[in-house]
Amino acid sequence: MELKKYFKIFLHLKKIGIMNRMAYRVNFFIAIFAVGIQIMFSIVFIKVVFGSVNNMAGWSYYEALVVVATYLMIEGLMWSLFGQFNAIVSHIRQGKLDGLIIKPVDTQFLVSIWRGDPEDLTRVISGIGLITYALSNLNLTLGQIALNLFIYLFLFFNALVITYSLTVLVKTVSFWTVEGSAFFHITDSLSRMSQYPTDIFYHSIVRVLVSSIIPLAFMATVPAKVLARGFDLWLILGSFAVAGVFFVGSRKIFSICPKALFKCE
Amino acid sequence: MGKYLLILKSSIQRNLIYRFNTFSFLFIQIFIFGVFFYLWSSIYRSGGQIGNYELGELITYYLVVNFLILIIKSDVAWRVGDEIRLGTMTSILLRPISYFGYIFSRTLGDIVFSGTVYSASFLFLFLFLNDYLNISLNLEQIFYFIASVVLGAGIYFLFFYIIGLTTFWLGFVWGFNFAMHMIVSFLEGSIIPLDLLPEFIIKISGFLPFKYIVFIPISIFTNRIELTPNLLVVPFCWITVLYIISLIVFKKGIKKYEGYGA
Repeated sequence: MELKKYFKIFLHLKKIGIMNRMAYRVNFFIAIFAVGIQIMFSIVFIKVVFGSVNNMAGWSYYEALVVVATYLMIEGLMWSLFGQFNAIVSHIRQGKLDGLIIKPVDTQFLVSIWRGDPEDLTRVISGIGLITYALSNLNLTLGQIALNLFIYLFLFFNALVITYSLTVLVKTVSFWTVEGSAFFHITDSLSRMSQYPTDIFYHSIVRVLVSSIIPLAFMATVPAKVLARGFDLWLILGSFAVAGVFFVGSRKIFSICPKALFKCE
Repeated sequence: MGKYLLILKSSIQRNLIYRFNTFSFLFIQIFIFGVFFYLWSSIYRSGGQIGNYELGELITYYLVVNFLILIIKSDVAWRVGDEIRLGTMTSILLRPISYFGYIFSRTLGDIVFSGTVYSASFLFLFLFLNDYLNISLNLEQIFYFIASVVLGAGIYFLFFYIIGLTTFWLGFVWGFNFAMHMIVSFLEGSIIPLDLLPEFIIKISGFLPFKYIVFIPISIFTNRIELTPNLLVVPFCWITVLYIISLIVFKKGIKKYEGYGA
C-alpha cells in the first residue's frame, strides 16, 4: 500500500516535470541536442586518445567505451529521476523545505524526486546503444555476454545507489552553508570523472581513495570491468559493501540535517 | 564611472561572503586536474604518446586549462537570461546605468576576485608540480599570455552575454546556454588540445573566435606557437565584432521585453 502511494507520487512529480519542460518546448529540444553534443564529445575524447595509443591503463578501446556508456547511463538516470538532488539546494536557499518536511511522506524521497530532467534520458538511450556497439566488438560469446550482463545489472544498480548517496552526502552540506551553487559542480565533476577507468591511478593510496572515500571505481569502472571481462567475486562483494555503506550513511546524515536547518532558522 | 566601480566592488564583496563556494570550485578544478594528471601519466608510463605532445606539455596544458576555467568562466548567460525571464532586469533598466555596463562590472568583479584567489593557489601548484611541468617563460611570452587571457575573457564574456540576451526571443535560455557551453568548451580546447583533433575541426575552429579563449593562451604559455601581433589583433577584432552584435541584439531584444514577473 505504502509502495503504491510512493509510486503514485513519483509518477505525478515526473509528469509535472515533463509539463514544466513542455512550457518551453524549444528549450527542451535544444537541451536534448545539447546532451547529444556532450555525449558525442565524451566519445570523441576516447577516440582521440585511442587514435594515439592502443590501451589506456590496460583498457582496450571497446572496454573503455563500456566505461563511458556506464557513466552515461548513471548520469542520465541521476538527472532524469533525481535532478541530481539539486532541489535540496534551491529549497533550502528559498526557505521552502519546511513545506516538504511536514508532508506525510519520507522527506528524502520527496526531495530526491522533486525535480527530474526528462531530456537526460537521451544519455540512457545513448549509453545502451554504445554498450551494445562495444559488446559486439569485444570477442565475447553470447553465453558470456548474458552471464556478464546479469551480474552487470546488479552492479549498475549499486553504482546508481553509490552515485545517488554521494550526491546526497555532498548536497546536504547546504543545510549548513545555505548557498550551494558549488555543490552542483562538485557532484557533477565527481560523476564526470568516473568515465575514465580508475586503473589509471597507479599510486596505491589514490586507488584506495577512489575505491572507498570517493568511490569513483564503483561508479562506472567496476560494472564495466565485470561486463567486459567477466566474473570477479571481490569486485562484486566490494560493490555491494560500498553501496550499502554509502546508502545507510546518506540516510543517517540526511535524517539529522533538518534539525540543523531549524537551528539556523 | 564611479557607479560601475561600485558595482564591481559589490561583486567582489558578494564573492567574499560565499567563501565556501570559492574553495569548493578550487577543490573541484584541482580534483579534475588530478584525474587528467593520472590519465596522461598512466598512458605515457606504458610507452604511449598523444600526438606530438610530451607528457610535461600535456600536464602543463591541463593545469593552465583548469586555471583559466576558474578565472574566465562566469555564469553571464544564465544571469542575463534569468533577469529577462524573471523580469528583474526592469529594476536595472530604471537606474541611470547601462545594462551592459552593469553586467560587465559584475562579471569583472568576479574575474578580479577569482584572479586574485586562484592565481595564488595555482602559483603554489605550479611550484609543487614543477618537476612534471614543461615551462620556460620569457618576458615577451608572459606579456603575450596575459594579454591573450584578457582578450579571451572578453570574447567569452561577450559571446555568452549575447547568448543570455537571446532569452528575449526564446523565453528560457537554459538549453541553448548548455548547448553553447558544450560547443565552446570543445572548440576552445579545454576538453582536448585543438591540434589533436581531426583536420576539419581545426579548420572550422579557425573561422571561429573560441580558440582564443583557451587554446591560444595556453599555446603561448607552453611555447608551442610563434609569437606574432596577430595573436592579439585577431581576438581584438573578434571582441569588436561581438560587442557590435551585442549592441544590436540588445536594441532589438529590449523592444520585446515585457518585464513580466517583475
